[in-house]
Amino acid sequence: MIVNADDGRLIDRTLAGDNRAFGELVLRYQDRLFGTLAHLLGSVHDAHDVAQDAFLSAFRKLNTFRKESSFYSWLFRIAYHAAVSNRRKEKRHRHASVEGRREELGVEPTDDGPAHEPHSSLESREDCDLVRRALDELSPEFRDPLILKELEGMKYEEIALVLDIPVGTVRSRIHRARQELKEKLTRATA
Amino acid sequence: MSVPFSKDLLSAYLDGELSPEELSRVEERLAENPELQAELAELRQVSERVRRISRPQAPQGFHADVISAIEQANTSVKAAAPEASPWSWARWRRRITIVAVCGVIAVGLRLMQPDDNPHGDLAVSNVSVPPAAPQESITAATDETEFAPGGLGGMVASNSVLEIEEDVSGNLASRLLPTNRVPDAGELLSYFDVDGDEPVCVEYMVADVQQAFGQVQLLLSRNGIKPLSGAKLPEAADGGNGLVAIYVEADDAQLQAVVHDIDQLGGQLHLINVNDSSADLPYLAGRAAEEDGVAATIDTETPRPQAEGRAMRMAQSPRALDTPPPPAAAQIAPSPSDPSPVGSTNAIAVSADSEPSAMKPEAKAAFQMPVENAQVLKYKLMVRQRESLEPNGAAPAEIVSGESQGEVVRGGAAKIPQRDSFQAKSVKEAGESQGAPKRRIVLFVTPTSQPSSER
Repeated sequence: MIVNADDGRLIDRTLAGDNRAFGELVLRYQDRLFGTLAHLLGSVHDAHDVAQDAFLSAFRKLNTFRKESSFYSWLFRIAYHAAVSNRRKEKRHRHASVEGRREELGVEPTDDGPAHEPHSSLESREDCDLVRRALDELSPEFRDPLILKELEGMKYEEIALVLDIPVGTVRSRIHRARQELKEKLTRATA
Repeated sequence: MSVPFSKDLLSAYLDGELSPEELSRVEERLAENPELQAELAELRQVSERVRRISRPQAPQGFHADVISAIEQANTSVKAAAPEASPWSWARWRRRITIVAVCGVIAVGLRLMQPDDNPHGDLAVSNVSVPPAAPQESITAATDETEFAPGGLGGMVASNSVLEIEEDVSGNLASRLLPTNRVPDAGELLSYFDVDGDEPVCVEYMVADVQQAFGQVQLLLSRNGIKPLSGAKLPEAADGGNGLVAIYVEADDAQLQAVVHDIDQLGGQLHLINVNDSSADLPYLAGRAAEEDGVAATIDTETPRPQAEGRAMRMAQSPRALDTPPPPAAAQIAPSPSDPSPVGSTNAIAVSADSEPSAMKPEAKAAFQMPVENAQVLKYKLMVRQRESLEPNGAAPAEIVSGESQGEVVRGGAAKIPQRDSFQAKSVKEAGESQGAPKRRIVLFVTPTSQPSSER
């Protein structure tokens, strides 16, 4: 069993009918999941919806969780698929409307709650915004593996599993993403 | 043999993802190439900058929202072990899709309520629909195929609807993820599920049934088939499981045009001859008796299909096409003004307002217009209708769909009547009849698959 012992106990309690135990799992992972989804989707609103959907789906299917991976990995895979679906929906919305409704993280920070800003200096915040915008300009094909690597700290093999692509592709896409990001950041600061 | 060098090894080097051989190769190249060292430094800097970006925390109330959603869904996790023999992916996906499609029909009928009817000249009766149904129709697509809105009111459906294998009475509305608003037509909603450890996503495209219905009405009108005036026409839902159905009475030429136009819209059309199955169409039977004495009737010699789980039984009676229905049959049909029973078919009655044109053999070719995947989907939908009607004493309906002639219905005992046979009878019928060779049918408009090339 790879699953964390604490997680395992909470899962068992949930399966026994104690929904509060699942609430503890939500509290434990909501910030991590939300933070990554916000960057994957470029929208805190979409991140909210997708994260909520993912938790609800995980709850419904908790009895199918085989504990062969960590609970968070399992949850994240659910969430990532939900995020991909959300993107498709967004794409249709953008096609259907002139302006679309997607708000960019860097331009319109969350109004749903206080954003976590560890770097208080103006310079740091500006650089964060710069990187966010550059990330958002990357195509999901390259942005996703990079975010999973940098923000989630996943190994290439884990990323390959989540994205359902070969490990070699993960490696080349991460490299390409970094190169593109470097060029964008260079242009932005020139 | 040395490992070939490529620059993406630099990123893998940063991430500690190189094999020992690759690591040696990269370090060897770095030692001899200052430019490569600079490039590595830049990549490292980019990586660090990305890691420094802030990660928004979940908003206040997020936890409460999740718990609330769980409670609202009245969901509990069962501790039962996963199924011993897990479903294959395709089979599992199919199961969800089927649930979705049935739910689609259930929720879609909501739009057919009187207040939503754009045609003011159509009087309608009460509608019985599941209270939880949202006011849109939702069709399903799997995560492997994307579908573009369009066709009849944006109604689309998955090609993966293949067969009914289990109880599909699940309420789609409760399965959909929480939403506090009425979705727009064309919008994709998602349902997330897990197959073992495999997360899967089923997308539901919201279709505007009212728009689809309006388009069909327009086609009917354009082809000389207009709504009856001054009649109280019933509209009912078949317990939330049926189709958008339009009752018409028209000659073959008119129907041919409609069939053709609907096909142009990307829709699919199923025709059910109701001359021998009035119990399926109570209004039409009563209406026929009331107007011209040519009433539909139940073919009492045809065995009623028995429910067999989800088995499909498209029983039919070719003989009935030749047999003039007895007027007395009207007595068994409810009055048009009677409240439609729950479980009856959602219908709008229309009739031809013009004299039928001459029956031309070539005109009937329209009935043979192939419609891909229609048959499969039709089976699904018809089963739902059939089961909801059986308790009310429904007789088998004859399917005269424009395709799959002569096919044995999977899971059932009957055959679709041969097209040639049907046409020959029609001609004979027309020749013997002094009146117009009108045929009372029901048009079932169903979603049509429109997979896009996008993936």
